[in-house]
Amino acid sequence: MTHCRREVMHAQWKILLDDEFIEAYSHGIVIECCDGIKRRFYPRIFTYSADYPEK
Amino acid sequence: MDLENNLSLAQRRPRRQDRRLPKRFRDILPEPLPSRPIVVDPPSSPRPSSPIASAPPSPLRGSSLHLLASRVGRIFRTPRNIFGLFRQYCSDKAPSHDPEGNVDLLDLSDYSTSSDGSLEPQNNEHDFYPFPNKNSFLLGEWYWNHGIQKSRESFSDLLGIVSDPSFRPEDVRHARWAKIDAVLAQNEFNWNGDEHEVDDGGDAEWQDEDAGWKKTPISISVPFHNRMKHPGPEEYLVGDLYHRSFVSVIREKLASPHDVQNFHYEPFELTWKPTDESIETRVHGELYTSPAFMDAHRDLQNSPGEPGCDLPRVVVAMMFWSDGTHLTSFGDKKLWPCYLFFGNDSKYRRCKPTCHLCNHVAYFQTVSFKNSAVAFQLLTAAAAPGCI
Repeated sequence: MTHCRREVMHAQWKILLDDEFIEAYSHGIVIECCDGIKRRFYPRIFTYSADYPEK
Repeated sequence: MDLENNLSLAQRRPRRQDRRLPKRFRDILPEPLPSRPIVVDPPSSPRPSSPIASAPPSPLRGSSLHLLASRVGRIFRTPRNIFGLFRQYCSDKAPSHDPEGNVDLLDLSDYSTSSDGSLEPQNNEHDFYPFPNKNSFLLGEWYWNHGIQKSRESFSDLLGIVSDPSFRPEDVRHARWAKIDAVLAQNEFNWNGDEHEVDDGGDAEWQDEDAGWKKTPISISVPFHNRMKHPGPEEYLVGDLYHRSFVSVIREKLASPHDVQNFHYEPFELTWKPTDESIETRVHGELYTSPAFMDAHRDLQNSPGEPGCDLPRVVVAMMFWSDGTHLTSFGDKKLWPCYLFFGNDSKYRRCKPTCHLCNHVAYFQTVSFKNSAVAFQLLTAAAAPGCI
């Protein structure tokens, strides 16, 4: 059961962290901000506070 | 003259206008940090001619800011505000955007902004869907929610509805009650039914109201013991994950003029120095002043970057949060939502629900013995020794 919980959680995060996100993570995404300046944004994950369902 | 006569005797009495409250009653209102950095401080050779640069630089010598400065060039300092707080940026040019420049007292306080015109409830026809207007809604609500038995109280409620000055008989005359009830019943059916029924009717809801939600099936591999009937790993479908694409959430966030106004593109060090003589002290409190953010920013600026691109590179700090949430007071219906906050926003804005800075990005599926085919398989196979 623990195995299943862990696998389900990891499978879901695998879906969430999709190829599009990985591409953005390593190469950034260019967005024109509202002040008219184009910037290249790199998403970075800082915190993940969660009650792990896999346990 | 007229004005003076209207005032009371006490108000007309001459008195000191500049009297200050006793110190214990004085309250200093929060003040935004000075926005424009005026002092440019080269990291290697502080100019003694500049009054702030002559402050002892030793406490910050080994800090991450100086490490960053050693590569990208210069440190920008803002002047101190009344609390002795100042910011230090490090980049090759002055920060292009000040997210706190236009923060006023109202943004920081929890004062209700209902007087703000934009938040006034608008008498929109769609607010009462599936009812065509307010009066039909009130009647419908009275019919369904006031119990099945007539009572004196319920009768007076009905009288209250129809005797209201805003009640117009033509509002309810043309309402298609059978259809409205059907819509109401359909929603109830979809959301109170079990999993499969949610899938059928719920899809339209997800797609219509929350653009950008995706549904992806989750499959996991479950190993079975070699003494069982079908040994070896087997793929199982657990359910569907409702989620949004992170990239589209980020794009939506950065395209919204209201959110971006208070979005910190660059980290800075917040330092406290109450008087000219006192030692500089780092102030920790926000993610965008934290060493972790500085490190991420420095690593990003030090990285080679995309070929042929000289746009400013910015870290988008994602902070995930998730926990199981009970939906009902009785029963065990629950959701496992995953929320996303951006660390580039101030924590004082993140904690205000009216700022709408929390994004829900996913609803996790959990394995439970009740509704999962996998669990059922495991249970039926449990007869085999040493299976679980």
